Amino acid sequence: MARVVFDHVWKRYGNNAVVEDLTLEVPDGEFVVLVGPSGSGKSTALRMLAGLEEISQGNVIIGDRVVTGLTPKDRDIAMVFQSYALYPHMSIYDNLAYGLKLHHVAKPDIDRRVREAASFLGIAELLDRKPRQLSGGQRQRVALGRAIVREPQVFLMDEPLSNLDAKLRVQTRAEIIKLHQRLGTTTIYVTHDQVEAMTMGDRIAVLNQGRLQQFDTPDRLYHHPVNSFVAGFIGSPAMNFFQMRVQDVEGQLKLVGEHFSLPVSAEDASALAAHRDEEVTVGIRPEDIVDRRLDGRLPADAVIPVRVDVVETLGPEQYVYLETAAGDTMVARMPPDIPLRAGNTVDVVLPPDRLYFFDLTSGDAIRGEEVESLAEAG
Amino acid sequence: MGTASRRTIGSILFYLLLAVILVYIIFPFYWAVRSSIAPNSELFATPVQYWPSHATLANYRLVFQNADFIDALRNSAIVATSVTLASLAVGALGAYALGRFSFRGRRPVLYLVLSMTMFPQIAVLGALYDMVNRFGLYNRLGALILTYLIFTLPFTVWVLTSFFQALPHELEEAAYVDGASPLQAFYQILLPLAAPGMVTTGLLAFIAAWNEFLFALSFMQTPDKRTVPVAIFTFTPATGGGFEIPWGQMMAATVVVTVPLIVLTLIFQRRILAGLTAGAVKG
Repeated sequence: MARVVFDHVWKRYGNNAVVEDLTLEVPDGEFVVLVGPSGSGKSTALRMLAGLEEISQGNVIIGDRVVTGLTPKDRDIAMVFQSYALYPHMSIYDNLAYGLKLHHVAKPDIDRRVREAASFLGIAELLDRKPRQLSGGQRQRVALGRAIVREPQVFLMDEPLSNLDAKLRVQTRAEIIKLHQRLGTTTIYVTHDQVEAMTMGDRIAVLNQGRLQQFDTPDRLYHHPVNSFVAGFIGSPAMNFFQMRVQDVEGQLKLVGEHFSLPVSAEDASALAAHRDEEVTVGIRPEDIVDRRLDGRLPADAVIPVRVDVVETLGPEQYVYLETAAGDTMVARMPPDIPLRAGNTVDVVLPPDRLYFFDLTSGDAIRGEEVESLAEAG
Repeated sequence: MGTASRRTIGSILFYLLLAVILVYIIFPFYWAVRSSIAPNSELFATPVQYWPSHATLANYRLVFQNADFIDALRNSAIVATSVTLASLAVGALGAYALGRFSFRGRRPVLYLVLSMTMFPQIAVLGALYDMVNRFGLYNRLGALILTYLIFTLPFTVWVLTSFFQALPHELEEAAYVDGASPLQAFYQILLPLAAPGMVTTGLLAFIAAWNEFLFALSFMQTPDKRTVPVAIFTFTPATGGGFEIPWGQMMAATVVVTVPLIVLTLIFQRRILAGLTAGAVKG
């Protein structure tokens, strides 16, 4: 059990930086998720931590040791791979015992640890079988077991659920969380799935194109995204974005778009004042778009008439794809009992206190409150 | 023509073709067996006797009484086994490097290896003869063991390289994370998984070495150092204890020499199939 630190870590291939200046500190016992789209550098970062990839610049620290330059076996880590990477020619028992044998653990201890882990993961009856006789979910549990028996300081997991079907994924997700609750080992978990990230991580590090965007709790990431990338990446369906101009209209700050305008709340007015007569990116989450009929108290000047393109019924809610007369599209999450069909016109409200604002070029959030800078967040 | 009858004609033709091919391939061996148990008088008799009327094992007895032939069997066994083991050991290590690491000159080395599988033995014979003499290996089995590697190593390396390439990288990485050194990962994880490839190339190397004639003829001089192909070749009328070429004994010797190869192939046949299709290993 140990803390993990990335200290200004870079990974370059020639002139191309795949990981840029990554600085991140994971306290002992925390479950941290590295999330981002393909090519964001998250797997590379994990592999540099594991020692499977050379570090171009910077240092990696596990516990109180600088492990940069050490081989994987000297780092006291265990890894769960996306494709499980079980040894096909060995029995499950031997797969689990392999690492312990290499570390010269006494035979009776090996046996005890292997059987304990196997029964904890519910694979005790499979110990004599070979990997090819197991289902995907069972193999994944063996992979987890192989990591558990080693009792390392850090667990590294590289998209372990990606090869499982949806139902199994949800199940195994819960098992991994339970595992962490029981063992408390520091865990670094890589995934491209933001749902996995949000549900599993104590804190989440969002990466894009090799750069750390934000390192925060799921809640803060969701409600206080630091830039438009994070805002659009976290949350499903994704946040809706519009490009609008901040303008003075009859003495009041308004957001003016091609076909509709939106009022600016008092709290946001001060922050937006600096961007008067500029175009900004305005964001609103799908669940914050409201059918006007539902709440008459909503500000009338925030109403936009839209046409329904597609309705996706999910049971507990529906996703409604809307289009304005000017062609702006947006997605809204609405309660299931509102009858909406493609072709309907409906008035929706974008409440001003639910709006997010981002600089048009940099994507950085424009906010009235103090924003924790990235340098301090790590 | 209806599709049903067309299909029947198709399968008839297919089985006909199959029969022709089988006969073509098996006939020589069947003929050797038949000749080996036929009394001398019936060997060349016409009309052709497809099975001897008085089968006899006399030829086999004579062959096994032939001390030179027994020596040859022993020599062949030593040479073929040594060559196979050496090819596999060196080839596996070479294939591991070529299949798993990228380094400058990797491509040229691979193509060089490939080109050597097509090299005609006769072209290198003169130079090898010179080398064998310089190393003082003339008329010693070591000469054969060394020179046979020229044709066994290339295809061993080539086939095993594709095997090692097909193994998922994550297997090695999992081994490293578990605490294995590169050598341990090679021995305990990768090598067992390349087993089908090793069996295939090992068997092919063994067969090639066992059947090799040219080098054995050129580099060995005394009868006690001959290998089996050369020994059979030098069955003289004197061997037959008569005045004619002892075809019966040569056939018997041939059968004796071929049977081990057939047995080995039958034992490992399933592994060979896997090896030939460059086994894809699932992680």
